[in-house]
Amino acid sequence: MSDPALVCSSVGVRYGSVDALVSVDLEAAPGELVAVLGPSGSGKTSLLHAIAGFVPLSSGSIEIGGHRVADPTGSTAPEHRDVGVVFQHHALWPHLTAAETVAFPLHRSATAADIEAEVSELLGRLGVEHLADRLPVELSGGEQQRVSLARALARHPGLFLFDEPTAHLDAPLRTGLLEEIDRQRGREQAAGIYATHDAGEALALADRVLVLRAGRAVQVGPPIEIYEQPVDVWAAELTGPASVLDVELTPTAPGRARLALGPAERDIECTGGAGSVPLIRPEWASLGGPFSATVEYVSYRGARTEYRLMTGAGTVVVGEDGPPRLAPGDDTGWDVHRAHRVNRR
Amino acid sequence: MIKPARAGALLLVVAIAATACSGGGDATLTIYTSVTQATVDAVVAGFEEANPDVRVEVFRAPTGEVTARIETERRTGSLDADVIWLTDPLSMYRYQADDLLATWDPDGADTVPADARTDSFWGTRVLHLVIVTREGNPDGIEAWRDLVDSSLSVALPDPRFAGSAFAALGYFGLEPGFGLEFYEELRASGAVQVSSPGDVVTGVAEGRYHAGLTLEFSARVAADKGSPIETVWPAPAAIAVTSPIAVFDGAEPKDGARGFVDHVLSSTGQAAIGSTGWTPAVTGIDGPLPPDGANIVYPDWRSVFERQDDLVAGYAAVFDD
Amino acid sequence: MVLLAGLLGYPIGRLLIEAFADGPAELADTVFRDVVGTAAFSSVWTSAVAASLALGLGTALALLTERSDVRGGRLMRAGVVATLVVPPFVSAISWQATYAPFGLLDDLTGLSAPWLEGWAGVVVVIAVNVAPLAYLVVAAALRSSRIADLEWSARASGAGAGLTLRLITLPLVRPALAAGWLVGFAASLASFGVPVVLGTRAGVETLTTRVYRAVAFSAQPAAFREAVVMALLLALIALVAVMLTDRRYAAASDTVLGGPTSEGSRRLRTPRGAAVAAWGYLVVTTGLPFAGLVLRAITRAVGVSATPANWTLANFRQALDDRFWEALGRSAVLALGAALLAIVAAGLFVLVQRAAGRGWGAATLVMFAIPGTSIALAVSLGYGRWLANTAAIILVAYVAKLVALAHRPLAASVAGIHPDLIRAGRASGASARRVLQKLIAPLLRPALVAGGLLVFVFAIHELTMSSILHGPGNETLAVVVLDYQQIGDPTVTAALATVLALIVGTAALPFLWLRRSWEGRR
Repeated sequence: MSDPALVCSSVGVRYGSVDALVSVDLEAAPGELVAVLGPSGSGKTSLLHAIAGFVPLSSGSIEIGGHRVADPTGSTAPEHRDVGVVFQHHALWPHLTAAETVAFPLHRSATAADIEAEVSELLGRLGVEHLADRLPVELSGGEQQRVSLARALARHPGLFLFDEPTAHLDAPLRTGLLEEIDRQRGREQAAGIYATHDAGEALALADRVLVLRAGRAVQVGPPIEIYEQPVDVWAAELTGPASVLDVELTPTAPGRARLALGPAERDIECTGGAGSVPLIRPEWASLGGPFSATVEYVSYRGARTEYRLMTGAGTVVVGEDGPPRLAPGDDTGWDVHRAHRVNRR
Repeated sequence: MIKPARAGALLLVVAIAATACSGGGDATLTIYTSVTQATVDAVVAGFEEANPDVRVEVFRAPTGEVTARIETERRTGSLDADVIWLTDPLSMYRYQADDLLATWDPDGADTVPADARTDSFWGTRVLHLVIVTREGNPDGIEAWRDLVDSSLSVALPDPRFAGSAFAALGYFGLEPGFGLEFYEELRASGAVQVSSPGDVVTGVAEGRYHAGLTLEFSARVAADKGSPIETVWPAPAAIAVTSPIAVFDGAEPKDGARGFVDHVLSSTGQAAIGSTGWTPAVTGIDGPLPPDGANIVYPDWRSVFERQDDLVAGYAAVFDD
Repeated sequence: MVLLAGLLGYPIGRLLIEAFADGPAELADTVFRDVVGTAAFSSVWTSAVAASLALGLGTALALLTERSDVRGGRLMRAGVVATLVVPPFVSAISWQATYAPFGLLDDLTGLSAPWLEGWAGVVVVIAVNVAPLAYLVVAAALRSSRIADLEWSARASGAGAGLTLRLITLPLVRPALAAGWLVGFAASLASFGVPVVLGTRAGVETLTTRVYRAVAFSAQPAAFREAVVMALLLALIALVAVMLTDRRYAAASDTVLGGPTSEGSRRLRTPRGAAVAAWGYLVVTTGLPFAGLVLRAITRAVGVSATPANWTLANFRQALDDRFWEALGRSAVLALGAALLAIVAAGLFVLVQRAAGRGWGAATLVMFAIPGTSIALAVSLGYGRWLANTAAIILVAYVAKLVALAHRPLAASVAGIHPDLIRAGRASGASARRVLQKLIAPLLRPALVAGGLLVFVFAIHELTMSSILHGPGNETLAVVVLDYQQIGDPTVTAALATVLALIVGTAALPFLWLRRSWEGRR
């Protein structure tokens, strides 16, 4: 079995007296893409900078491809780590053309002709070969990020680090670039760490997701687990709408529990164990059913419509395909088939 | 990153290099002078030709600035000058009294007229203080006294700035019939003070003033260029000032400094003075001479020197508001 | 830190020691001595009036070039900025040659401005020289796109152009107006060439001219002490002004300068006649005086008409003697040395600034604001013992005064380099050294060149400091011009001033060109 592409053990980073990261563990297998998900200021960039070697560790250690590259006593220089970085603001050098930028990491490899060939191959792979002689100011945002990606690819590293590479792109460009990143990284058979505050990206792209809050890892797992079994309400809301009802669940069988609201009750599918109240995703509930509620707010999302219902135990958001069929103030019944147990907020 | 220490060292090296370039070697002769640039240049060129191993540095400025610099340097104990060459003899008497000047006997000292030399400084050229008027002298100005006339605007150079004006103050101050009262009367009739004799000539040429006290040299240069002015050799007499030169005690190189004075008094040096428009102190050398019949007075500078502080204070009382 | 102490701390310390040498009582006595008090008062009021005039002119021009759709706005901007490189004393000599009695205008039309040689002339010419500075500060604020949006929202709310200007635009740039006034005040306070050229005949005396006279023309220790006290006073007044400026200016940049430039955004209609007035202003303040200067330089003598019959190049022949060429060479070497040293020093400041925080950057600005007169006297007290009468002492003063000109663009340029650009280099496998060579150095090069050029241009025509510090064998170009001016030879002075203006203009050309190429790139 080959070495993991990345092992972070109890990594801590301090800026002066501020803890940016506290005891973060993270492992990535070769070829695996791990998304680091968290709001701004949660420590995503600090983690990437620690892995890339831009900041020293105050505790813990980092291994890349089986080589210890950082611990509190020392650090391998960034240029000697087997990583390729794609930066949030592209970080293209304003005085270098696209071709010169991509050639920059290649300077050690062989002849000028080889470099030229490699550069045009890389730019071609990303569909920006025709922009080779342009300066960054002459490129659009999406083109800039493609050049930036080509620059990271040029090192053929064992580990890619992506620092919110799509944060400044418009939605249509974003999707295209995400696919590009996935395809290129897959082709290189390299691992990747992808920092983002966008849960949609994280869930769609990653093999596993690490959720960061205030410098601490609060949850690691496959995307489905992150979405369906969040550790708490905060983590749940990071990945999408979620309602928590102020009512105790009563376990009935392994993986099942009873939900009682007023006169009605239901035996439902139930995951989690730590807490006692139900967290409900909109698609786990439906309109019509034994529970009664009043429609408070309706928001039409195109393919779906979300209804916020006032129940006796707080509000619950119910999602349904199709256009709205109820208006605020209507009374309605509703139902739920599944819940995830969490602690009260 | 550039190491701060390395950059600091670079800074130091450049500064030292700049210092080195600016001179200060042993064979450098430093001359402080108020003599016109062209004259100094001509004399120095001749000297350097004869003494290729001596490098000459010249500080040329108006008399007031030269003497102030010497005072400042004396106070800080770093008198830089080896040779001093001034416009008026008064400051020289001060340096002589303070034992700053070397007493010696230059070659050709005896060719300088007796009343233009002492045992430590020697006259090099003769400046004449005259009246400059508009072309054709339309106001009929013939005598110093004619300048006291409230219908005329009259300009006088500042004695604290120009050595020649200082000399004029010395002469009038002690001369019976003039005295400081002469300046009081001038001031009362509306005379104004400007900086230099050149300013006086410029002002008259422009038509700003009717007349003024100036150096005959300045008036001649402007008239030769075409300025509409005229020189009047006034009654009772134009004032002669014998621009003196001296060597400071402790001058380095001593031979170079004395050699320079020898050169100035030699026929080559005197000819250079004559050819740049000044009357040589040594007679028989080619140069501009006063017209026949012009009265010229050689004031007794020693007596003036003894009274100079009173005169300067009295003048200031008249012309400073 | 050592550098800062060496360039400024130690000399100013010596200045303080010298001022207090006879005890505080004597110091107080000197400060309140009539002449000092009068000179200080003159300096402050002339600077205040000149700064106000300059601000008015600068703001009007800035509104025209930045907020109106005037034709040839770019050219006008270049014209205003170009007047910044005219050495102030050359400007004073030109005005004198053109507008004073017996000048060009008098010669042609019989009209002249007798007030020019006196307080009024000193104030007006200083104001005209300082106006481009005020212009730059105000124009930078007006260029913000936010101003355009806010103006148009006022128009959409029913306010007319005049009301919008009064209620929206000017209040919005008020911090910049205050900063512009203070910058103008500090620059006017330091002005030496203008009062010395235009004021001497009328007995105009400011702190700068009085210090110069006390140092250059008086042998009395008391006069020197007085000069030291006046130099300190000057520095103090300037410091107060600059401290106010920096705060105001920071506020101005925060509130207004945030947005991108509004190049090409919707602009207001140009008021009728404004463009004519602006071009007229440039012609009257810069074009005509230069013409007057040149005419005087080619006229054979004072007091004859400047008609072709009287034209000659003799004045140039007389002016361009050995002494001139030596001084030119010396000034060029000094300016080059000052430019190189200022760049190195600015680089060190930027490094220290990164390590020790923002306050250090302001230090260079303080050095620039302290009038050259004070710096020259301080440097001569501090280093005169070792360096008196050498070119090195002038060099020290130049670097102390001008390092800010190299520091500002460099610091801005360094601040503009996002740390990710450097990280991207390291992450691409480049060593720190290679990152410096291939990435940082090329990015900083324009700033280094611009800073160096600015220092060079200002050093090559520097008069204030070299007039106090020069000694045998190290006259600078400007000192030679001043010497001819004082001897009272106006035609040769004009010839020299013309040559000096051409030299400075030539030296400044690459800068204007660089500026344009940057603007083009942005």
